[in-house]
Amino acid sequence: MKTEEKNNIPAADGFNIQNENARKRKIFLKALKYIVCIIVSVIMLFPMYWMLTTSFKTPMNVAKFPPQWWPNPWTLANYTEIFYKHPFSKYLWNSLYIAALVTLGVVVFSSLAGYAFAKIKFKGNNVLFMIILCGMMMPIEVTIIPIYIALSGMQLADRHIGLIICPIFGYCGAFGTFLMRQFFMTVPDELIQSAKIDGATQPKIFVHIILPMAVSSIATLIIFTFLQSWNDYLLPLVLLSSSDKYTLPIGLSLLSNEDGMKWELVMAAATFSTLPILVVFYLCQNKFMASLSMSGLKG
Amino acid sequence: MTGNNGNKTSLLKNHRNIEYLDAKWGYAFIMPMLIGFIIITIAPVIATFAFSFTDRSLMKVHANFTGLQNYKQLIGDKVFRNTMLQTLEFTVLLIPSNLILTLALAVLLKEKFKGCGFFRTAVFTPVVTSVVVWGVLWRYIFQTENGLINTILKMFNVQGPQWLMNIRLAIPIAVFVTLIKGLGMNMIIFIGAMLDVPQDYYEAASLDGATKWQQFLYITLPCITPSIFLVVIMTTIGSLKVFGQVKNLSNGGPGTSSYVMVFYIYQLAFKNYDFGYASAVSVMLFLMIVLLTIIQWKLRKNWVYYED
Amino acid sequence: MRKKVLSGMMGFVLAASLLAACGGASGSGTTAAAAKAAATTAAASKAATTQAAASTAKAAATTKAAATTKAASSGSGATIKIAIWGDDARKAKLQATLDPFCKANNCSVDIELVPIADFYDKLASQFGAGTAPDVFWMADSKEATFIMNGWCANLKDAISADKDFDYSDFYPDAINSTNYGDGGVYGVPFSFGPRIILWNKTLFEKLGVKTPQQCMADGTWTYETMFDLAAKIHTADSSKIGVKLWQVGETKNGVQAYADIISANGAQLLDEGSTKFMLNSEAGIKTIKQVYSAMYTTGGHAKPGDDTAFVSGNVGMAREAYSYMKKVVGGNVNFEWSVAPQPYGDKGKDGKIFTGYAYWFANGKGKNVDLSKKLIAFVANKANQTAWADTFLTPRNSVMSSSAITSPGKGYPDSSAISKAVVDAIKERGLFAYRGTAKFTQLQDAVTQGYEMIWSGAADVEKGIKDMGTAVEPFLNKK
Repeated sequence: MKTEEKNNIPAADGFNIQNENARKRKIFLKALKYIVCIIVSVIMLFPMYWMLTTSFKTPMNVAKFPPQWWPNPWTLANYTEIFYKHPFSKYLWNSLYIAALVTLGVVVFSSLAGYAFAKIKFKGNNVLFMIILCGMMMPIEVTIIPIYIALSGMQLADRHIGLIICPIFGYCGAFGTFLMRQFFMTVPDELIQSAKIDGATQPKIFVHIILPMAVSSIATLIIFTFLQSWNDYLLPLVLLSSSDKYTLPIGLSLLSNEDGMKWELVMAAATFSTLPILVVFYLCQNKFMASLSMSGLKG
Repeated sequence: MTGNNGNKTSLLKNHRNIEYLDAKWGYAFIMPMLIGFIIITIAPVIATFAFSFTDRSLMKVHANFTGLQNYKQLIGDKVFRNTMLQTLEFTVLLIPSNLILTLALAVLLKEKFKGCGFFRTAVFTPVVTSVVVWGVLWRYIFQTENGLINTILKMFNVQGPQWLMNIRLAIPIAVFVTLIKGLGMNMIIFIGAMLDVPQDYYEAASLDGATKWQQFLYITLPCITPSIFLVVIMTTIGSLKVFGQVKNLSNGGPGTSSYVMVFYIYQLAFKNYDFGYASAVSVMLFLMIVLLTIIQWKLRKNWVYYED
Repeated sequence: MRKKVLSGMMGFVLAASLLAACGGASGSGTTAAAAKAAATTAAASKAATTQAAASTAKAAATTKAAATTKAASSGSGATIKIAIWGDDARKAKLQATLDPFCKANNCSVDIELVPIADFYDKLASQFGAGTAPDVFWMADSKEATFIMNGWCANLKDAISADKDFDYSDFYPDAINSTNYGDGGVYGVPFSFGPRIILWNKTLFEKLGVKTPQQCMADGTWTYETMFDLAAKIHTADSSKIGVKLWQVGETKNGVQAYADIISANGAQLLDEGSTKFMLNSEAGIKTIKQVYSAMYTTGGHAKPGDDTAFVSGNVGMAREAYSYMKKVVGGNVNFEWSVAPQPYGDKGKDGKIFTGYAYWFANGKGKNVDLSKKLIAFVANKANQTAWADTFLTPRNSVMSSSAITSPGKGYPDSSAISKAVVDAIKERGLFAYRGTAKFTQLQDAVTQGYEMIWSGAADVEKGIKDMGTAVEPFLNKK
């Protein structure tokens, strides 16, 4: 009886105290983690919050000071205006399909090239890769003029084909090749060797072994490329002249005229261009950041 | 099977065949990207080099060959010198802060915990916003009289400085705005890389009694060095090429105190219509970037794993 | 094998870059020929290729000249490209206005909308590539550069020939403002922007400050008084801005911002032909000091970079263009407001009012020069410009004296106030505009940067103005 009672009293020895302390520390760290996350999120989200609320404000309340933190009254007029008075659905479609094609092109060509640069021995591997790296270094603001001259000389200006080809074989493609190369560098050589011994050719190796491993990098590349194309302003500005071919960023700046920026419309258009991507990101970010299959192969 | 010698030769032959085939596939795989790249990107670069030796005006369609005239002008150009220094200031401020903050954020948000999806999306939000809207929004926030920051400071009875009208603050503010915008993208790259580090390494290490911090230093960091290399190079190139933030935030001002290279090039080409000179400045920028990248490339074997 | 591939690639690269260079030299139509010619010579060394480029460019240029004259003579079935800023509503309105012209001349128009912020960047790229539009708008004193580079067509004959145009209806200063050198008319103005002072009646009454209207009544409406009232407003309520001299949507410290106050005090930024920098005078320095003290000492004037709009109700007085009234009315503001003319300075009635102009221009090197000229004469004739009076303030006597200007409609201040602010002020004081120079954009940048250095405290007023003068020097017109 006494021994049982003894056992029921929490022991005052060092072991349990250590456990207590460890537990307290864990909770403290976890709370700290949440606080830091919240502070960071507030800073990051604030502009988006501002964009969102401004898009629902009436023109007069937009300029109000102190600023209205919550729109009062709420109005959907800005959104209806950009769709009915301005051809935003057209701009949306243009941006969407161009970004999709650019992303497709970049992913396909960059993964192929990235893998080759990383894992295949051929003469000039390093030099050719440096050439691609160098292409990222000349600012587009400068190369746009020769590109425009060449394209309009070939009667290809004011068409979407230029907007698709230039990023694929330009900055996005270079970045994609770089990104994929860096990832493929971490693939163990033995894996490829064993496949070769089994008689697989490079294409087979690429499709059946390499690609499935690269899911997270490809996902990163998709996000990056899609965003670059979606938000691209300079290329469409210079290459396009017909307003029915314009993309979202150009459409956004057409909302400002000689009287200045129409903030409420611009914010509505900007929110509209941004929110869908964020939603998609939120839904997918777990899927590609988890890499359960990856670690198994690496060990 | 003609005996040992025959075996060796046929094996060697096989080996060489495989290598030759490999090389062929190598070229085949890079051809689409390389060819396209040469046409779309390299050719305009060469054209820019060519233009830098002319007096091409954006207004005139003919150009005269002027040799090294533009480059001679560069040497005496005070604005060019200041611009270069300001660009370097921007780069030096951005790279370390970007690297440290994104690594920290990646460590913070790589594990799955309640609300991590929300936080990751929050950090990613600025990346998705267009540069123009982002720059204009922050210009509004940093306004002297009624900007958000100075209003908040006023509540604590602190008189905020003229953020964007201060020649010393213009570049650091541009760095800050660029930093926040780019954190999300680099964070994802790092999270992806960190999650690729095999779990067994960590298990083995904790069995040996390593702390979380030691695990980070000796396992995580080394394994993600290829990604770190990628981010460092991209940030270097990106910050030497920065344009949109400066244009929308301060338009190069006050005065020319926040001129960066691409902004100066843009001014020369599109405001002064002096395309020949703009090309010469671009060539200088290009060489600067190439130099820095080559240095980083050569050094990579010293610290980046897997690069052998 | 590989060597062949490499040299082939090199050849291709050279050809491609020559295409880019030649494309600029020979214009859009004949670049294909130039490219073919360039490709065949690409195998040679670089020196040879530069020579080849020059000769193909010459050959291409002559073929193009022949093609242009052929196209210009016939107007049938031609498409005229017009570049403007604005939105789809404006595009539709312009299309409707031009319909009669298109029918009468058997042509069609293709209207290109370009964001105003990048309008000139785009235009410059198009000129550089030879794909410039036939007709385009131009403003902000940029026209001088384009005219002096030979891009613009002389419209004088076309508009003199058009019987509906009514040349004499225009303010002489306006229609002659583009007669660089040879007395031609290179641009027909469709809009001009004398500024007026909008003031927030409700705010003034609430804070018990004397209103501009009262000052005008007892003859004390001067800049000193204005800054005084502004200081009173700001002191009474520090969240309100007393006065703002720069407009919404324009470069905050550009040539336009302080043009009126400088002129009112008898100083000037540039002389009449833009050959000399003149702000360095006693009156000029005094004016800038006046503005500086209003910004930093008394606090009446908004701080540099401020974007607070009059429609927010937090600005006491704002110097804006006439067209801004439309925005206030459309903004459904909850305060009473009115307009006043700009105050007098030391020079009183002799201080001219600043204005800029927006013009119709025709591309003198385009394919449809004659037709473009006719189009401009049509779209800028008396009837059409009167029809557009609700969108643009046009420097025509008929437009300015019409009731459409002084009584635009419901919600506007009463017509006597508008009349005093705009029409009477112009009659009384006269207008001036800065003569363009070949590098006017750089001049404007130098002025802006000069002001920014002063406001940011990096230079005191005298030194700042002196530095501005030195910076502006290379961009002035030669005497």
